[in-house]
Amino acid sequence: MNDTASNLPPGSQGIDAFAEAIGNHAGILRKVAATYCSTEHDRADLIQDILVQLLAARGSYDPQRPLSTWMYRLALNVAISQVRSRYRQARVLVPIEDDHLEVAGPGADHEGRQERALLDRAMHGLDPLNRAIMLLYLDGYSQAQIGEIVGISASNAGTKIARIKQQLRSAIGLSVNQEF
Amino acid sequence: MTMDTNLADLRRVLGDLETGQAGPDISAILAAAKLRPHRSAGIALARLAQGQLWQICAGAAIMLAGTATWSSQLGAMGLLFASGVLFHLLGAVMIACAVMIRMLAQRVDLGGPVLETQLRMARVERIAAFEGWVLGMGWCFLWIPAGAALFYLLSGFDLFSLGGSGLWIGCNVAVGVLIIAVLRWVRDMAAESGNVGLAQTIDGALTGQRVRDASAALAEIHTFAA
Repeated sequence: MNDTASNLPPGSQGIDAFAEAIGNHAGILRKVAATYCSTEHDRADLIQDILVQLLAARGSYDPQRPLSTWMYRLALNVAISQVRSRYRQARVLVPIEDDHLEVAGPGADHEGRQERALLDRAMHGLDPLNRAIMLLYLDGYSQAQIGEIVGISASNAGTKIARIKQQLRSAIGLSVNQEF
Repeated sequence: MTMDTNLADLRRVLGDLETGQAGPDISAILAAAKLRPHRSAGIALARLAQGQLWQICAGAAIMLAGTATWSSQLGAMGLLFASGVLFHLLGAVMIACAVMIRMLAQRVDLGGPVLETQLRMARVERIAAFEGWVLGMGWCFLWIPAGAALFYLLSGFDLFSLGGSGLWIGCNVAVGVLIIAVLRWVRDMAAESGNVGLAQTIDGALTGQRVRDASAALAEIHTFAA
């Protein structure tokens, strides 16, 4: 998959072509939403907000740079902002989690929910910025790429990954294979 | 859930999301988003920037009301103080703050590096929270000047001419303290009756909860950056 949108003129990308390029990287949006939201409703809301911002900000995208890096930056910034807003609102209004209502539903996707719970469990104890690091790490990005997206040095990214692994090991019994 | 969660399991979950086996239908959401590409998303910064437009309008209205009151009554010291100093200044401060916050919010590039962008966002939100708290609390002490200016606009009579400046300033402070005391009483009653939401809202407004939240977010980002 071409990771840039270099076929598009800078600053004036047509919305259809740009939307198609974004659609080719839709996995990024699902991953960010799964990392920062625990209900289906919140995930859909977050993805919608990210998509609106991506389309609105398309003029500032530099087609010579990887689209996935830009998408990850924007998606993470929107997601972290939403998480902080939700935290503030939750102090006043605590909503019933959709997933709790779905548990006994006839078409409930128990396997999918268990997998999401696995991700929730790993991410729950991390602050929003460390979640971003962990997400990028799990998605296979190098320390240098993580540093570029988050805005820290590669060595700092490596240090933070090691700390997060340690935190997960003691918090949820995460086992770390040799490959990692 | 086993205690032996593996990083490979987590990567598999993310891998399923990559291929679209799980999660929301992106193409449907994208099609809807294309229909309104310039609609501001529901992120706090966009709402903040939009909210400043209302503040600019309110500030302009307050300034105009203040000007209309004192411009024809330059000899009336009370009105000059009430509407000229307080309201003209209040309106100008509201407009200046709103313009500054809106500019800062619009200069945040969401496509920039996450740490730098989050720092900028947190700074803007803290400035806005502090400004909102100061202006909001300030209104506890502005009801008498506001009432006098409104009364003058409607009837042409300067209420401040009935007493010395000291009396009106004293009344103003007393009313402000009374409003705060009443708010605290309502907060306590709400808490006792189980209306936690109302109690927390009033408590937050009185104690600057938004400022503390914004400061805590900024501190968290600084800690991460260190």
